[in-house]
Amino acid sequence: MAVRTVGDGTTTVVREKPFSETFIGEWLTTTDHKKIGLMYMVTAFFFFLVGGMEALLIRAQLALPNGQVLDPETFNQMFTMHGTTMIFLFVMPMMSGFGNYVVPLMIGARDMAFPRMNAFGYWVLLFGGVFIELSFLFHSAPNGGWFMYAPLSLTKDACGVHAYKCTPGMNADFWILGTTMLGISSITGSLNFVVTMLKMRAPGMSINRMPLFCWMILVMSFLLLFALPSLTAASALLLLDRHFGTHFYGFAYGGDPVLWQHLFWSFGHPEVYILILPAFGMVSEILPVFSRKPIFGYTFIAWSGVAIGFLSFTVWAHHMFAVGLPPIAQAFFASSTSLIALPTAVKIFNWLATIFKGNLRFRAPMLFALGFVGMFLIGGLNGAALAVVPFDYQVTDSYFVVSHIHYVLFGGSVLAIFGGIFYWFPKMTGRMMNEKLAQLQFWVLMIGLNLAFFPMHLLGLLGMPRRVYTYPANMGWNELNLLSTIGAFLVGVGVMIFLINLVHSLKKGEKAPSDPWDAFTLEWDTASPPKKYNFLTIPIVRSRRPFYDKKNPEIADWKSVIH
Amino acid sequence: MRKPVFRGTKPLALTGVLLALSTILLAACGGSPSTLDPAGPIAGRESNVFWLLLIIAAIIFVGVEGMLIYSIFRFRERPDSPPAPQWHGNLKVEIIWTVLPAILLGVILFITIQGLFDVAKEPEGKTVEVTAYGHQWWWEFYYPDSKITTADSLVVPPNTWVKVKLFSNNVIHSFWVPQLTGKTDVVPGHDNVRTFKADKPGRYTGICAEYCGVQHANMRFDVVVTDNFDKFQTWQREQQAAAANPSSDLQAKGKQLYLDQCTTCHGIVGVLENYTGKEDPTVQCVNPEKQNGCLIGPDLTHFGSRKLIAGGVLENNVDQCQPGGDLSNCNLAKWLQDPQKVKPGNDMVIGQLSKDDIAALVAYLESLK
Amino acid sequence: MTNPGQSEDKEKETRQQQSSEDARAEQNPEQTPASSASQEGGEQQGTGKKRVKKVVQIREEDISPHSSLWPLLTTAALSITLVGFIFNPIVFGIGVVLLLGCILGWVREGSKQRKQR
Repeated sequence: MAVRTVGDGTTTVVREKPFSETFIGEWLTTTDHKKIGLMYMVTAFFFFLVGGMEALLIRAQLALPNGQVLDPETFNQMFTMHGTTMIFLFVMPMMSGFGNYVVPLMIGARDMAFPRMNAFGYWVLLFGGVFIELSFLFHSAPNGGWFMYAPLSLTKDACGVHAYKCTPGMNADFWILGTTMLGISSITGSLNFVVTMLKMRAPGMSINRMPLFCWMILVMSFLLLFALPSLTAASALLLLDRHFGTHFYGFAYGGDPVLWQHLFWSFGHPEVYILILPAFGMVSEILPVFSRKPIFGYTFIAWSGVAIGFLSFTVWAHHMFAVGLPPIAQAFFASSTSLIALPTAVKIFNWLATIFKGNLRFRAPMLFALGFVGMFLIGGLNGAALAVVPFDYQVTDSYFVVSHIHYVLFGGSVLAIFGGIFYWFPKMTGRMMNEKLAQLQFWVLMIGLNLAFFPMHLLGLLGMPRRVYTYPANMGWNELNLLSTIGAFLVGVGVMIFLINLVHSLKKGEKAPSDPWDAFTLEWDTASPPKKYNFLTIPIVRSRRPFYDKKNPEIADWKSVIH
Repeated sequence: MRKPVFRGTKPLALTGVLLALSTILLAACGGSPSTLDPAGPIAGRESNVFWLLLIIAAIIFVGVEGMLIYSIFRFRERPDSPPAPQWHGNLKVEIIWTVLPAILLGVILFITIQGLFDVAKEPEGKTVEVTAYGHQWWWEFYYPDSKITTADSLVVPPNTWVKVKLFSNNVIHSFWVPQLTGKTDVVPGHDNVRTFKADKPGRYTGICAEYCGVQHANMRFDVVVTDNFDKFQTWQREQQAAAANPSSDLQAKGKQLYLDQCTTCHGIVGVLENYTGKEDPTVQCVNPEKQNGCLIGPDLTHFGSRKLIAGGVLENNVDQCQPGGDLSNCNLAKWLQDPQKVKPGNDMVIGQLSKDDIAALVAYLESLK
Repeated sequence: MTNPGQSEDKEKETRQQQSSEDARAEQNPEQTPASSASQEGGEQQGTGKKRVKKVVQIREEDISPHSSLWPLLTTAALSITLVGFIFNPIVFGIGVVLLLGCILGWVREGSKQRKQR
């Protein structure tokens, strides 16, 4: 019940609290970008744990040859759901969550451009995620691999008279429905980000002064807007083939399975840049603050992000080098893939230059940002190797690729996400996380991830294919698989440490000041956590580091550099 | 600020890294179907590309990680550290570290394109043609010149180009023999071709490398390279003959069992009526309306001559399968006893056979050399 | 590590709550750069000119996000529609109707908010 004083103070009005002011109601009806950001992050983290359990089950099954932990059908559902969950339900929503929370604050805005659509995007994600995980209840979880190649994903009748084991059940339908909903969520989110960043920046913040994290979210949003239609089209055609008697992918009646691959990877390749660009952005915010220097080469980092965005639409068939495309086509894609390595290398050099001659402070966010640079480099190198077509013929579809994807996704995106969580947790919750636990978690994760994923390079070179539920004892793959499993469980321990830290800090963490890290950007110029309306007065910006300028007026950026 | 790293980590870290990289050398050792243990020119070319890439990657790795680790130790904030220089960028440096990597990438791209066109070249000289037909979940091999069909083992002569036509009428598979050639997908509706040559006799493991359903993990084959071309031709002639007649009562019983229970899925030339085993699967099996001439399971006419059985997952250990002896270690017996246990979900769903029946079938099938 | 003017802002809010409910919010047209924001708080921001500045009266509700039930309802309707599309045409039909209703409600709420501003 709320009591309000009206008029000259002599009348008291007592009314029932409206639904939107109850605890549950507040969260169900919120359009506040900060609350929505938190909901995205909590939901995404929950799915991270689900995907992580799936990974541990996979590794338990593969720890020993002829493993008996999972039967083959369950295993196939596990690896499909591990990929689908981690990509669509963890990394993408987590990046969205960070973007939602941080971007309006960083650009000095009070909210996103379309607050209700923002909330809508979150709810669609939640419903879509629950829907796709519900498939386990029907023992019909998607089982065609996270990229669901046709004709395996077609129904029994559509994939050919002599194919006995396509996908007769609902598995593929759950996948199509789930990913479509997640696509809707991402598209609404992206529209919001684009309009917000283009129209609602604080006065004085030209696009040239916008924080790099915002730049990366902007490029990510454009990528989503242009790439998701490919996935939607591919899924729609698959749905038609499965249930309405068409033959887009069915070779027996004139269709072509490779069509699925082209359509899917036209989404799938920009997708991986969608997963990594925000990570680049977070690292570009954290490194300068903990080196006490501005980011080196802001313009180059921003534009290389844009270049990666454009180029990402030209490389898709490097996932299809073994499919039998004509050599001249393969040469084209090899060239475009080599080209896209360049902007990424430029970024890495700029990050190194940022920490060079800095005063490095090794707090938790910095550890994870540095870990990111170290691990992403490995992912970049083995990725560049995969672009070398004759070598790719040997290692594509083998554990070498699994190693690459996990170095860039775990060593890359996940480490950056942890860095971002440690960096912005004080701002979001008003409490500090425990530094000792964070350091312990960092080292456990570093050892675990390298132990889990480095041996996979060798397994691929030694002939172990992907997506196999077991392997025989006489292939020479036993020790490496066991090592990899141990590493995976160590990673699990690291995540447990994080959970302990999280729960403890939420309850008993030291109270956080509004600016615990002595940072440079506008989100730190608010309370921890910020007020509902973010800024009472919208600040005026004169450089790329408006908060640094405010704190250090004598040596403000706008006095020394013209941007 | 707390110092999270202890003194002495640098040499430790370096040792760790070198150890990790050196494990790659293990990949060249025997035991596994290793891409770095090539036995033919295609795999050899692909493996050389790898070593070059490894050297380049190692140099870049040591350089960049080295810079990272150096900065971490050298620029740690200390109480007496002067304020950090507020550099925003440097155009000259940016150009240098854009142009140099571009040149390196250009060189690697040149090697890439040269390599990919090289391994795609049409073979010259004597060529053996084979069709590799990917089933769910076993490999059939059809030789169009000699009109023979076999399964699980791809027999080829040494020092001769082998041109493999890749056929599927179900889902996508991938044909990969790491020691002889990189992979090419077997795509239904497409006519992909994979060409390779084996330099020396031996057996090389082959693997299906595209997820093709529940038993993708158990779809292997091997490439059996004969001692010389003559031996290969002899093998072909033997395969062209009809099945050997049973030479004992036990074998005759096995043959009768075959006729009673196995003919829905398996063919034996000279025993199964109207079955010649000579049909080209790329013609017979591609029309979804017509099923005749296209059997579900492997041809068994010369089963006894094969080294691998059950879709490439079991050795055909004939010495453990002697008639009248103890069959507990005989792989064929294990397979007949319970195919679903060996390969859950495969198409061989048969009732429980009695021990005597199994013994008879083993005797008969192993006699079909 | 600064605490920029937040305590002063809190003072300002309390003052606003006691004033009339009908006070319109007006932004002070002359903003000073961020570097001196910590000094303000309803006082005169002198630049040497003789000018009477308006006291900034900002209602918290105007600058805070508004709640709405429509995003959640629309999501439920969309889910029903999509599930029905694959599994049951009747459910699909119901979903479409609900979805249209939700879109109408959403749009109406939007125009109501615009009128209020």
